[in-house]
Amino acid sequence: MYRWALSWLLRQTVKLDVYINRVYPADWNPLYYTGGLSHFFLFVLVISGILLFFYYVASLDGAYASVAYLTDQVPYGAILRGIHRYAADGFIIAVLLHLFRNWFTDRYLFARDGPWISGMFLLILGGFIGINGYQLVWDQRAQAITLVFVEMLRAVPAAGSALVRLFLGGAGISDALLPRILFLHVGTASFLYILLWWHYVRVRHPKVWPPATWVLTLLGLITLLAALPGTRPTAGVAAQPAATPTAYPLDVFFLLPFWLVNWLPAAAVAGGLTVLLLLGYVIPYIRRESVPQMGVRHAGVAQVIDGNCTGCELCYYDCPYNAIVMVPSLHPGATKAAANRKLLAVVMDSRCVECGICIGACPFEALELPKFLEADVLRRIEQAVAQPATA
Amino acid sequence: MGRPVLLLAIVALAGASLLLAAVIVLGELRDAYALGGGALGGILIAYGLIVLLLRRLGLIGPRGAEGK
Repeated sequence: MYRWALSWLLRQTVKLDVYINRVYPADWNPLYYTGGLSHFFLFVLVISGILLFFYYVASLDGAYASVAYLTDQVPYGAILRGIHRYAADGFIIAVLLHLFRNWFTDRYLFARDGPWISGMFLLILGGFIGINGYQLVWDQRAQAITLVFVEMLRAVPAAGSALVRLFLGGAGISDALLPRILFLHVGTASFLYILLWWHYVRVRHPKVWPPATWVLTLLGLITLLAALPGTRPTAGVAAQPAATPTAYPLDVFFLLPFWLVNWLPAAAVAGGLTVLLLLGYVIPYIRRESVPQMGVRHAGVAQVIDGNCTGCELCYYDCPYNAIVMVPSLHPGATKAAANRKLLAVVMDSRCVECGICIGACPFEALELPKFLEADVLRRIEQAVAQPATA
Repeated sequence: MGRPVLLLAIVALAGASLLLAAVIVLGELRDAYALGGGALGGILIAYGLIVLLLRRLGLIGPRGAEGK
C-alpha cells in the first residue's frame, strides 16, 4: 500500500510539474525551488526579526506593551510584524512542499538520508521557533499556549519537572520566563544556519535562492497581507495573570498541536507529535529492504567505463553530490580520445545518489547506471517521439 | 499569449506600478502607513509579474529564444 501510494504520488508530482511548466518557463517553476524558497523566507525572517528585536522588551509587564507600541505607534511597525508573521507561514509552507516533493520523488534514499535527517531537524526547530514567536507577544494567546506547552513538557518521562523549571526559570510564571523564550527564539533560529550547513554540505550546486520573479512576488504578497485590514496584525488582548483564557485565535501553521488539546490531554498530543517525528526520521530507511522491486527507480551506483574515460573532469564538476573524484590514471584508455589521459574518474559509491547527471555530462560514454543504460533511455525516447500524437 | 499581448500587459503593469508609487507617497503624507505598505506590496507583485513577462518575451533569462 505504502509503495503503491508513493508511486501514485510520484506520477502526480511529475504531472503537476508538467502543468506548471506550461505557465512558467521551466527553469522558473517554483516547485524546483522549494528549498530556495524556504531559504528566502528564512532570510526575510532574520532581517525582519532583527528590526523587531530593537523594539522588544522581554518582561511580563513590558513585552505586550512594547509589541502594542510597535504595532500602533511606530510607522510601518504593524507591517513589519506582519511581514515577520507571514514569512514564517511561508517558510513552513515552503519547507513542507520541499519535504513532500523530495519524499514523493524518492530523493531521500540511500546517500540522501543526511539531507533528509537534517531537514527533519530544520522542520521541527522551525515549528518550535514559530511557537516561541507567538509566546513572545505575551497576549492572552501567548499565555494560553505557554500553559499548554508547560503541560506537554511536564509529560516528558523522568525529566518533565526539571524541564518545566528550566523553561519557566522558577516554580511559576515570572519575569524570568520571557528572556528564556526570547533566547529560545533567537538562539534556535541562529542554530538553523548550522543545520543548513549540514543540509547543504554534500551538495555542490545547491539552489539556495529562487528566481527574481518569485522573490519579488512573494515579498510583495507578504507585505500586502501585512497591510490589508483583515490580515494585518493587531495588538490583541494583554495576558491576564489571574485568569486562564479559554478562547483565542490559532495559527494553522504553528499552533495546530494546541488546537488538539481541545479533545486530547497535552501529554497525548506531545506523545503523538513524538511518534510522528520518529516516523519522519525512519522514512529514508523504509524502502531499503525492497530494492529489487524498485526497478529503474533504483538504477544502481554510476559505473565508470575505464576504457572510455578521457579524464576530462566534466562529470567531476557536474556531480551535485561530490560523488566523483579524479585520480591519476595509471594506464591509457582504450579509445583514441582517452589514449593520452592523465586522470581517471572514480565514483564513490557511498555518495552516489543514482541521479544520472554524470551520464548526461559525459560526452565520451564513459559512465553508465547499471540498470538504466544510456542506450535504452535513448531508444525509449526515440520510440516515444516516433509514436503518433494521440492528443 | 502573443507578443503584443505580453507587451501590453507589461505596459499596463508599469502604469499600475506608477499609480501605486503615488499611493505610497499619499500614504506617507497622511500617515496612513497601512495604505503605503499595501501599495508597496502591490508594486513588488507588479514587478515580479513584469520580470516574468519579460522572461516569456525572451528579453531576459538564459534561454532567450524560448519565448519567441
